[in-house]
Amino acid sequence: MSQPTESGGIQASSHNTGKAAPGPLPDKYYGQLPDWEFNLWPSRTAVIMAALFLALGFTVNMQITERIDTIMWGGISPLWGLFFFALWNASGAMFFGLPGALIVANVNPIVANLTATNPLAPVFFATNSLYAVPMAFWTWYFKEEGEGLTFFQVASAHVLSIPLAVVPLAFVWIFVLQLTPPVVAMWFAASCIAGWLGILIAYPFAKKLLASGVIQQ
Amino acid sequence: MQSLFQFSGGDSFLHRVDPRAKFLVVLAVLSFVLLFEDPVFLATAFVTVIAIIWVLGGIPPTEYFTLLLAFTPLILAVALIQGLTYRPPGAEIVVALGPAGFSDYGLLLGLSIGLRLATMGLTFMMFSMTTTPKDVGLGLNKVGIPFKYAYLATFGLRFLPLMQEDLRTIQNARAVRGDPDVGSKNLFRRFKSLPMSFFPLAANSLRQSSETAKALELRGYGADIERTTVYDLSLEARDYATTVVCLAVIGIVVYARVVLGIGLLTP
Repeated sequence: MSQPTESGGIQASSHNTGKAAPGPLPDKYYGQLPDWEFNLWPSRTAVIMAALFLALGFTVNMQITERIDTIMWGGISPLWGLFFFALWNASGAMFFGLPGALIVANVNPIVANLTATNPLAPVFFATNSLYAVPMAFWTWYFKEEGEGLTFFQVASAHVLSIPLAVVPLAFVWIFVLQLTPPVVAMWFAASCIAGWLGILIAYPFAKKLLASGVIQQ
Repeated sequence: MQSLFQFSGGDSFLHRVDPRAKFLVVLAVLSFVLLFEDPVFLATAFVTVIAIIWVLGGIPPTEYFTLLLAFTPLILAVALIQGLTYRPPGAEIVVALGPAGFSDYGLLLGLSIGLRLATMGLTFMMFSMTTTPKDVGLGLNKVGIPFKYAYLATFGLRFLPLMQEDLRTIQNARAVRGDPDVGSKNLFRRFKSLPMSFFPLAANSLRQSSETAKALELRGYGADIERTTVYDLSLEARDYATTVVCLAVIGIVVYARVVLGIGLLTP
């Protein structure tokens, strides 16, 4: 089981101490996430509220990045949004199970639609959910009692889930924006790459949240 | 980093209409802009939505001028991409920049699509400017979403400005400690500084969440009993009238587009 540290953080369980890499992030090899208690379907109010606050952080983040996307390329693809969205969606799904994944994924699109921050906002419900829900299932599949996830496990789940998130955007490019197939292919590839790169900030972010102790409180 | 979610207080017709009926207005506009592709039709829809917000909502365009400006890169980007890449038979190159040529049909189609997305955004803004966060939550609850989750929308919309303020405070704290990126005039450096601020934002808010959860549970959040509210939504004559008009508009639009074939853009 995980043990609280003096600073209130969570240290990896004793049997995997050799693999854990606590301390300031990002560390050289990204190491392994400390252990946390994972439940695929938690129903406590505390979990719902924690996910909601994470969703609000996500929304604040997206209010900035989606507008930058709109200014830079008309918002045809939320490339900066895709780079940053794993920061919050991955944490919500890994730490708070399916309810957390769904809350984090669906609060931002409500605000994005109401504030018209991005022209593609109506499909963000699907985009976020198609990333967050698989991430929750991947966590449930990979996570073992008393052990955290390795960078490889999180990155694999992330790399497999990102293209799913881009599929709803492709529907808009094809049916609403009526872009030609080569242009759709270009945006699809660019969006996947931007999304995949997001793991480089999402993983240290998740690890730092765990180490700070705010997840298990 | 100003929030564009601004409920614009007032006592206009749009402010008084039930959010469920108002959402039908949004759907009617969406059906119009998604089914027609003639730029004249879409420009008309764009202007009509501005007029509706002004006349029925009492909100002049000057109040959301920044949003209208934000649509410009979108319309330009879509028009340029379509002009450059879409050349059906019969289309002519009207502008050539070296090897790149822009077709007349592509530019018009791009303009239509840009106007379509801009009108969609403006319509959603109309909804948010004339609907309180409380009504959004109550409306979601009335259409069948359990209170436990519908309340999250109200809560989120209320707390969002506070979270934005928290981020601003964190950025200011970093700036006064000499972080050169935060206050930089270089937009890229300022943008680069953001991720470092997201961790304290998330950690602070997660720390608050357990106390908020306790406060909510003490007030019966999550209880299985049926909830009642002091202020409730009820449909009145104007809501039924709005519903009938919107359904009629949707019916006419579908008939005009599907049966009569009106509103298509042909090369």
